[in-house]
Amino acid sequence: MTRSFCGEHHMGLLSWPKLLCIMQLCTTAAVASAMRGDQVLYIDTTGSFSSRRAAAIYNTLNSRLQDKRSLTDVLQSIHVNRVHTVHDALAVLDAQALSMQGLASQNAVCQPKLLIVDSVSALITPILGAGGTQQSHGHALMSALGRLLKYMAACYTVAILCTNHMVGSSTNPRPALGESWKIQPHTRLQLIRPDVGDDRFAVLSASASNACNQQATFQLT
Amino acid sequence: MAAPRQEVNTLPLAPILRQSLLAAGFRTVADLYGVGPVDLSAELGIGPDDALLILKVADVHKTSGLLGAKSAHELYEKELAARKIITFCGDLDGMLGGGVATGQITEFCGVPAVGKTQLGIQLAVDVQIPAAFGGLGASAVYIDTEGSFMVERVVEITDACIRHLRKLGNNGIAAQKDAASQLSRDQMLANIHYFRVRDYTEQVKLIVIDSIAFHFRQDFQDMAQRTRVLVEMAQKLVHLAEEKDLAVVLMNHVTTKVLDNNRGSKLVPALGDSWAHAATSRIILFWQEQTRNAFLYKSPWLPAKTAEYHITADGVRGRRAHKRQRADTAAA
Repeated sequence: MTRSFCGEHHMGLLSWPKLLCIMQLCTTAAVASAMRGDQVLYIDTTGSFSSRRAAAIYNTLNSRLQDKRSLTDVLQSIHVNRVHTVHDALAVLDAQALSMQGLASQNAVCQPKLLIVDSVSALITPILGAGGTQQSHGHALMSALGRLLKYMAACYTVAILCTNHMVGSSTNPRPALGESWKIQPHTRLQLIRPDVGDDRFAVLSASASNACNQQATFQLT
Repeated sequence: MAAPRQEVNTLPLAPILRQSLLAAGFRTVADLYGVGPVDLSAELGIGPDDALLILKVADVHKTSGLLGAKSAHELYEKELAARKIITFCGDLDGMLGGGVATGQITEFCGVPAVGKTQLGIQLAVDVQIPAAFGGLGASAVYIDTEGSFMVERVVEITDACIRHLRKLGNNGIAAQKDAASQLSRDQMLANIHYFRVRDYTEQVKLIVIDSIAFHFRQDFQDMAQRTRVLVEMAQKLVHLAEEKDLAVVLMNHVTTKVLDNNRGSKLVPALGDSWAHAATSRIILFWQEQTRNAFLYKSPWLPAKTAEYHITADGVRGRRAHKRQRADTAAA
């Protein structure tokens, strides 16, 4: 699951009109990664991470996998940081970068392999577009966040998954946060739910390494 | 490759302090390591208080690596042990996994007169249910933006709750009987902190905002500003809910969304797409024939489900209590 969304050294972005799906996918990515033995850092900005849901997802995946880690081990490998402003998020990421540098120099195996930021739009929307000097500082903070995440992905071989929401009309939706944020992630997946049917689509709308506009179908259970 | 560190330009400081840091050649927080406040104050040409502030803000990074991260396991145990605020409607409580949860934002949206204010009042009373009955035994903050809070109704619902708990107490264990006998209408009313259009201590475990939509739908000229303010407010509410471990309940309106291709229109929650992400859980209240229903539209861990509820003289109740009451009034 993690590999299909974002490779290592890369930052992937999910955007979706209805957040329910994204939270499920983020939690699934976290649980799947933890089940392989990786440490996961989950930065939760809107309070939507539910460890009960993570436990339910573990139970579903557990039946299919050979190598079984216990629920306690898996949940203990997912470190949840609850931040609500962009400054707090930058502080947490900075501290994390410092700790990862320490671990890297010791060649430690407990280096986090997946970092999830859910959601970037909740952090950035309040500071963007206020006009005047405030506007440029909002943009600066957004770009700084993107840069920090990309450096971390490149330096520490960690996969970074962020989420964004969609704005605009239903015929022409576009990701929030504008053009400046659009260029930050290496890979962007747009999740679409048509009005009829249970199937949802994930469209690869931007990628540094694969052909674009490929589509995959999935369902939420 | 140098380790990626936070740039000083992104620290939460006044613009003039950020500019002086950049002008003096500091780029990231790593550059501030080992610099004392006296040296910093001299180098930047600022006062010692400002230098101390800069170091304090940047210094936070020197503490433990994960900066307050909790493992999902710890959160799991906390979630399992958390007590919920019930609504007295069994189906509705079941749909919500036991009741309204603390530590998150739950939003109820619906058409006028579907019972949003009634639910808000019921929750403000139910948060006070003593621990002996499995409740939180705490107080509530009620923020009323529409003037729909009727004290007479609150008194009715409070009295009904006390009657119900006393009845349970008489048939139950001693601790419950004691707790129920200590309840008084005046005390319960005093525990609902009512604000017509702020912050409170004690053991507040519930904040009801009825409604969050009212002022934002009146006459906002600048829509972009409205979105910014709404998202910022949502973030502050989530922060409050998580830090103080209390339940934030918001009432929202519904509005009509015209669908493309002449497919007609449908009712959607008000305040737009950006607001849709604010609430952790979202319930839509609607009428179906003559009955009120609640649909759990968004939840972090519960499946989508519909529950029927009724507004009776005693407050919010489920189907059985409603039938019983109708039978009682018919017989009387």
